[in-house]
Amino acid sequence: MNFKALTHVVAQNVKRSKKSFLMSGFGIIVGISTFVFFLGLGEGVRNVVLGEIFLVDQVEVVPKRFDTGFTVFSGGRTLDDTVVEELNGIEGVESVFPKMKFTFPTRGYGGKKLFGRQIWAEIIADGLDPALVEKDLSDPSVFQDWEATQTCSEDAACPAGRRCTNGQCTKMTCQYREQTYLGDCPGESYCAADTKRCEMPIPVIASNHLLELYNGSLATALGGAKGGAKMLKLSKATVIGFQLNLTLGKSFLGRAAKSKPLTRRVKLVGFSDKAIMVGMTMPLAYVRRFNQRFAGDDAAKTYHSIVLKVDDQTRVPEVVQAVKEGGFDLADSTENAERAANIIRTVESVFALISLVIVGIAAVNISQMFFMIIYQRKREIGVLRAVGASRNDVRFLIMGEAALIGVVGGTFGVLAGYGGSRLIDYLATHLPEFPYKPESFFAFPPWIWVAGVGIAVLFCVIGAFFPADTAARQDPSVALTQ
Amino acid sequence: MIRITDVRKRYDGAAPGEEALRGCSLEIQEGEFVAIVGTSGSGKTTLLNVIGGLDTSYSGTVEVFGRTLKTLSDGELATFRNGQIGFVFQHFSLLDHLTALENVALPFHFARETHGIDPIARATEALTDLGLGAKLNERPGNLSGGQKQRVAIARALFFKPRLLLCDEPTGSLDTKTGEQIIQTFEQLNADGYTVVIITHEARVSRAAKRLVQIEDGQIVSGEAAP
Repeated sequence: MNFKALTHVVAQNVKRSKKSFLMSGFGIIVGISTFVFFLGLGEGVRNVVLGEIFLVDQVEVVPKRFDTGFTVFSGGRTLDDTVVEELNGIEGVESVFPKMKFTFPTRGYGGKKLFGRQIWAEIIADGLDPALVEKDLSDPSVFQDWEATQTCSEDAACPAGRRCTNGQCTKMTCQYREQTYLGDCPGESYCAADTKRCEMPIPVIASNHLLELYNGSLATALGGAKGGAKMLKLSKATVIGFQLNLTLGKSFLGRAAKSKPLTRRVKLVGFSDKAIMVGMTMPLAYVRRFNQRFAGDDAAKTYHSIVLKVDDQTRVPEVVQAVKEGGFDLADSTENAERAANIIRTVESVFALISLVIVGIAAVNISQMFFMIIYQRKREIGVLRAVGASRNDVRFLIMGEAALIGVVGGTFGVLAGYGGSRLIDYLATHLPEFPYKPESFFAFPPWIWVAGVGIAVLFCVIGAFFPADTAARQDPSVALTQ
Repeated sequence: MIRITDVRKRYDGAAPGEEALRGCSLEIQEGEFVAIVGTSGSGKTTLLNVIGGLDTSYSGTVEVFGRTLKTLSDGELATFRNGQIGFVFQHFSLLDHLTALENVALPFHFARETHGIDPIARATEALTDLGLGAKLNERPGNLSGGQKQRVAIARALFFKPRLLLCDEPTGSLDTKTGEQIIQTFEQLNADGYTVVIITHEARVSRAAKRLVQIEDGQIVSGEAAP
C-alpha cells in the first residue's frame, strides 16, 4: 500500500469517525498545549536569566578564594599574562579576555542634562579587551583606546582635537578655563586640566543590569526624593553619548591615591552584559595605564578576572573542571549562572513531565478508542484483507489514523499553548515594572513547535500500536463471519 | 487450475476429532462454473476461505494457478488475493461510509502494481457494465439488496481476477433479484471467469456446470474435474 493510498483511506476513515477522533484529539490538545506552554515559558525565562542576568556561554575565572568561616580572602596564583596563556590552552576555550579593575579610588560628577542636577558618586570601573564586546556594540570602533598611536596622512584622518604630524596623530594644545572646566578644543574633544591638551573622552560601556536597576528601582526612588514625581525611565538610546567627569585618584570616602589626581571625561558608548554590573567598563589599556600611575607596576600587570569564552555551551562543565583543577576559582557570576541553569532545567523538566503525563493519559484514551473501533470494524477489516490488504496494511491504516489525530491534535495543541502564552504576556503588561521584566515571558524556538507536534504523533502512534497489531493479527476468515 | 489435496482443518476450541474439513481433495479447471453445495455447517465456507487464501491454518496442500498458498508470505498472499481472486459475500460486505464507486475501487488502494489503471474510470466501467451507471455516488444505505450485490460483484471484478469465489451470493436476495445475480455469474463465466459458488439453493446449483457435494467436512461427490 503506497503512501498516497494510505492517506486516502485514512482520511476516509477519520472523516466518518469525527466524533470519536475529536474526543480523543481533545486530550492530545490539552496535553500538548500544556507541554508547549511550559516549554515556551522555560525557554523565555532561560533567555532572560541566562542571557541577560547570568551568562552561560562564558566562564569567569578568579584567583582561588579561601573561606575561613569568618571571612573570605583571595589567594592562590596571581592572574597575569602567563595564566592568560595557560587558560587559552584549555580545550573548548575559544578565546580569553582578561579584566582589570581600578585599584585606586575615583569619583565622578555630572549628569545635569539627564537628571536635572549634578550628581556626584564614587565610581567603580574596570577594563576589558574591546574584542570581547564588539558584537554588543552598534559601532565597535568607538570603544577603543584613543591614546594608542594612530598613523595618518592628513588631519581629517585623526580624531577630534588631534593633528596629523609626521604621519602620526598628535594632540593639540589648548587653553583650559578653570571656571567652566572647558577649553577651546574642537568636536567632542575637551581640554584636560593637567596636560593642557585636547583629549578624546574615554569610551565606556555599562551593563544592561545598570539600566534595568535604574528603570526598575532607582527611577522611582529618585523621583520620590524630588517630591513624589516619578523620574523618566531611560532607554539605551537616551543615555548613549552621556558624559561624566572623573577625578581619578580621589574619593568621597576620604581615601586618596599617592599620585596627583587626574581629571578625565568619559563617554557612554554602549551597553553589554560583559560590562561591570554596577559601574563602568573601559578599554583595558586605559585601566592598565591608570593602575600603573596610581598603584604601581604590579597593579598594571595583575588581572582581577579572566573571561573564557567557550566554543560550545555544552562544554562549559569540562572547562569549569579544568579551571578548578588548574587552581583557580569561578567568579560568583559564573557559579550563579550554573546554579540558575540547573534550577531552570529542573523546573522545566518537572513541567514537561507533567505535560507528558497528560499526553500519556490521552494516548491511553486513544488506545482504548482504537480497541473499540477495531471491534466495531472487525468485519470491515476482514473485507479489506479479502480485497488485498496485508497485515501490515491494516497496521499502517490504524496507526495512520492515530498519526493523523496526532498531527491535528498536536498542531491545535501547539497553537493553543502559543495562544495561552500571548494571553499571559498581554495580562503581564498590566503588572508593575520590575527589573528584567521582559517584553515576553515566553520563547518559542522552532524545535518547540516540532517537538509539540512530534510528541503528539509519537504518543498517538504508540497508543494505537497494540490495537493496530490486534487488528492485523485478526483471522480474516473469522472476521468475515461477524 | 485449482488443486486441493487432503486438506484438513480444525478450528481452535473445537473438540478433539471435530474437524471442519476432513481430508478434502478437489480439482477445478480454469473457466469452470462450480457450485459447492452442502448443508449448513458442512464446511462449505471453510473450503472457500482455504481456496481464497483467507484461511491458512490447515494441513494438506492448496495450489491455485500454480502457487502453493501455504508457501506464500502474508504480503504475497495479499497481493495474490488482490490481483487473482474476487470475493462476493452473502451480506455484500460493502463499506457503508464509501460510495458505490469508492467501494468498487477499494482493491486499487492495496495493489502493489497498479499498471497505470485509473481507479475511477475502471470502477465506473465495472458498475456501468452491471447496470449501476446511475448509482455511482450512492452509498450502500441507499441501494437495494440486488444493487448492493452488484456493487460487490463489480468490486470483485475490479482487477479482472481469474477466480471468483462467491459465498451464498443470493442468500440475502429475493427470488427475482437472486435470478438476476445468477444470470450475472453465468455471463461472467461465459466471459472466461472461473466461478466457484457456495450455495444451498437449488436454483444456483442448477446454473453451475459442476456440483461438488460436501458433507461433514468431506467431499462426497464431484471432486474431480471433468
